[in-house]
Formats: sequence, structure tokens, C-alpha cells
Amino acid sequence: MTSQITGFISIVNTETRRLIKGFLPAYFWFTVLVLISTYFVFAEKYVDISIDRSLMTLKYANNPMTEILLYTVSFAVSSVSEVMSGKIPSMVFPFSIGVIFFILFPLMLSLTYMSGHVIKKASTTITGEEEKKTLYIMATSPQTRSSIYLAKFTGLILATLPMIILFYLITELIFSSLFLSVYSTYDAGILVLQILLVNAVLFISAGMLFSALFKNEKKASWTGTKVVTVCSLLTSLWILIPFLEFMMNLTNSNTDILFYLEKLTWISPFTAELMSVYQPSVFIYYLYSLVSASVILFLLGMGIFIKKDLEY
Amino acid sequence: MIVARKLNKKYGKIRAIIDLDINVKKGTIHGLIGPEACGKTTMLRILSTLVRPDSGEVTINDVPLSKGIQIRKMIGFVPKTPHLPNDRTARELVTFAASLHGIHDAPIIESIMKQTGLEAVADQKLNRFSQVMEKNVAFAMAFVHDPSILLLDEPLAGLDPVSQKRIKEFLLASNKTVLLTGQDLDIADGLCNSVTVMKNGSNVVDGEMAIIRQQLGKGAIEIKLLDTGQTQKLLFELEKKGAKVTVSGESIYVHYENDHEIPGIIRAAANAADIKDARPVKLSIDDIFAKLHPLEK
Repeated sequence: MTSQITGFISIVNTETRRLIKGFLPAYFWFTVLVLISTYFVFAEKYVDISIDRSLMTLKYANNPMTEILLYTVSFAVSSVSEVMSGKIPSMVFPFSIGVIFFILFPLMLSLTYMSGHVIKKASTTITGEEEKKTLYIMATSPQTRSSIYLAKFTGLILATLPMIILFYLITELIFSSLFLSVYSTYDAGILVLQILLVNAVLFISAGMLFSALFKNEKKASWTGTKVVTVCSLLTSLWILIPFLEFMMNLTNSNTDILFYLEKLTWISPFTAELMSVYQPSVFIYYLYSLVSASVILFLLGMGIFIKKDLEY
Repeated sequence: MIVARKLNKKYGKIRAIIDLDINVKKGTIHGLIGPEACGKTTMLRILSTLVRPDSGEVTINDVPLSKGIQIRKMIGFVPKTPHLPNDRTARELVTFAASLHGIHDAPIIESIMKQTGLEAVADQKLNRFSQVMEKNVAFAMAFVHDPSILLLDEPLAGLDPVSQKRIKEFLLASNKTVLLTGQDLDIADGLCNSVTVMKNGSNVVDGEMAIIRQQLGKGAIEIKLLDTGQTQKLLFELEKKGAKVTVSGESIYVHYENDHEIPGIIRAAANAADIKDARPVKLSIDDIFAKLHPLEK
């Protein structure tokens, strides 16, 4: 048993070191992306004002973009007198809009980038070794296939941690310096940390499933990347739904189709994750489904790997 | 001890192994001999638990193959062409292989590096290694936990004579149960106690090496004549002296059991006909099948 544990730790250690080496460029670009998008959030001024919600009603309104749309309309209406008198209205945002900026830019971009990178690495973790025919080293050792799979999974989580920690620190910084008066930094930071961790686990599980399923590294990586692309497109659609509804209302078009479109966008885990930051009270409901999905994908991948015939 | 009974394995529609029986006695070296794609590698993949058989029973030291962890603790496995991560040093890889078995003692690792001749290059990355050196690393990785069973896929293929000698000496002195594969019987000579000759996934011949060699003979001399019209005369003379002779095209093959028969054969042939060329030839695996199963050919 002791040799099993030390062997497992050895695989985790080797995998993590190898992955961290491969992750170095990703750490760099992730940092650049986070800093640029954070700068954008810091570039605006936020005040404690409320939004006049009576100006417009939207059917599919439970979405951060609705808030922005409402604020834009509210700002336009309230600035009419200033504009008429020849003055340029100065645009300041309420705290709630600031948080939405955080959701739409640093968080959305970071989630997409991190997910894309981890799924790519996860989807090649077994296929890559299968193609290089190095998997026999571990597979003919006393380690079980399930412990090899779990060790590789753990290595991927550990290699993703620097990105998660960096974003957690950035979240703490944003919330403590910009929105401290209305949001608890602790809650926001921990919430984002949980979201990023669940997201990483989900996409690593999905990537490893592709890795166990396919024999070809390119095919597995392509599938993983496409999954993230589709998810981010669906969430982008979700963000745009209030805007689409607004436009359709202006042209008196039937908006029923938006109901189905909105449902479709919930396939993407990013939608639930962004929504959780927008409305933290609903996070716990999404957490169950995201964790369940991760467990199913992980067990499915592990089952396939255990049954798989290996080359050398 | 390795025992396989009625083993079958299919890859899609291809039957890689058909009702294969193997019995390797404890402490002996057994050769699994056969041409390319006859199922030797599949057999090793099954024994090393990389692949599951479709049917049949396998036990290693009386432990069924289904008890994977126990089996893998007992085996040391070396592939024909080991593919190792070339961004790692030999020492790192051997240490990693040792750690998978829960071994962390530096002296054990050093000792195996010494035994496999890797001492001087232990801290060099594998991308600077030749194929021979890489194979030595694979040997070190497979032997580091002192396994009682060695599964070696064409262990001498691609090795230089010095490494071949070292591996042979190691195997002969090891007193371990060894199952090795090869494409012809030469690899088994002086190394294996017993062999299984395989063809199309099944065992054609199974037995002690000495008995099989007696059945097969050592080899043959290929004789070519200046005048092919003298062939019948030569055959008559050689058969009169009790030699086993076969003809293929312009070549006449005279089979012999021991090397000391060669001068007599040459003398008899030279007296009977004008020889253009005479050279010893090794028995190919096809010749072995033809000799042992003439009807099959």
C-alpha cells in the first residue's frame, strides 16, 4: 500500500513538473490578458447611484447585459437636459455596472482562456503518451489504471492553480479597491475562487475524457478546443440576449425564439458561472450541476482508460 | 512460472492470438519465436497487463492475470523499441521507474545503472542517447525492482555485440523466469531452455530447446553447380552417404546436424560434381515450419 501511495505521488510530481513547463507561456499570456482587462475595469469611475428600471421592461431580463442596457437608457434620458444646454455629460457608473464589467471582461476572458488551455492540455495527456508510446512505463508498474488517471488529473489541477490564484488575487484587488462599499471582498474573492476551481475541474475532466476516448492527439485536442469555443459562443449569445430583445422590441418582432435561445445558452458552463457572480445566491444550485457533470465526465474517462488496450 | 491456456485475442476482425498455450517453468528462459505479426508482441502485452485477452486463462507464479497489481509487482518488461521521454536523464527515468515500485534507495538505483552500463551517462538527457543506450535505460527501468519474471520483446534486437553479451550473461546468471521473443531460433541458441514457435497467432511447436534443435538440425549448406545437369548425380551421391538434401531452383540444400559434418559434405559434393559456390545458410523461420509441419507448406 505504501509503495502504491509513493508511486502515485511520484506520478503526480512528474506530471505536474512536466505540465508546469508546458504551461509557462500560458501563465504569461493569462497574466497579460488579466492585467489588460483589469485595467479596463479600473479605468472607469464608479459611484453609489441607482438605475431607473421603470424606463424599460424586458422579458428575458435576468442577465448582466440588461443592467447595462437599462443604465445606458437611463443615462441617455437623464442626460438630455445637459446635452440640450450644450454640456458634455460625464459618464460615471453605478457599482453594479462595475461588477458587470468585471464579469464581462476579466472573468469571461479568463474563464475562456483558462478553459481553452486546460482542455487542450488535458485532452493530450493520455493520447500524447499513447502516440509517443511512453504510457507503458506507468501501465506496467504496480500502479492501477485508475490511480494513473487520477494522478494525471491531479497534476493538471496543480498546474492550473497558478492561474486560479492569480485571478483570485486580482478579484480581491478589484473588489477591495473599487466595490468595497457595496460588496464584501471575502465573499466575492471566495466565490470567484470556487467558480474557477469548479470550471477547471469540469474542463480537465472533459479534456481527459477526450484523451481516453481518442487515439489521436490532434483529434482529441481539436475536439477539446471546439467544446470551449462552442461554450464561449453560447455564453456570448446569452450576454447578447437582452440587446437582441431590445432590438426586436424596437422592430415589433416576435421575441419567442429568444426563450429557446436563452435555454440553449445554459448548456455552456460559463453561463452559469457568470450568472453566479451576477447573482451569488444562485451559485449553490449551479455548483451541484457543474460538480455532477465533472464527476460523470471524470468517471466516464477513467472507465474508458481502464478498459483501453495500450500499445508500447 | 508462466502458464497460458487457450488464450484468444482479437483486434477488430483480426485474430491476433488463437488458442495459444504456453508453459514457462520457474527459473527458465523461454523463447517465443515467430515471424512478424504472429502474435508474440500481443502475448507480451497480455502478460504485462497492457491488453486484456478475450478468453483463456493466464497465471504468473500462480497469480491470475486479473490481479493486475500483484502481477505488475512481479514483472519487469522491456519493449522491442523502448520509447522513453527524451527530455529526461537516464538517472531521472530509472529513479522514476523505481519510485513507481516504492523504491527510493539511491544505492539500488546506482547498482542497476552500473549493471546496465549507464554509470557514465546517467546524468545525460536521452535526446543524446543512441538506440542501444536507450534500450539499456529500458533494461535498467525494468530490472530496478528486481522482478522475478522478465518479459523481453526482442531483447537483443538493435543492440551492439558488447551489450548483447552483457544482457545474455545477465539473463543466464539471473535465475529468473524469462519470456523473450525473437524472429528466429538463433536468439534462442545458448540462451533459452525452451521455446514456443508461433505462426498466425498459434503455437506450432512447443518444447525443450535441445529436443527442437535435434528435430530441426543445425543448418544447411547451399550448393550451386557449374553444370546443373550434374544435379541428379550429386543428389544420388549425397543421399548415398545419408545426407538430407532438398532442391530449390538452382540451389541444392544439404542439411547437417553438427558443424563437423560440413567438410565431409563439401568433399562428397566436390567428388560428385563441379561446384560453383557453396555456403552455409541458416534455417529461416519458414524452413522451420516446413520441417516441423511439412504438410502445412
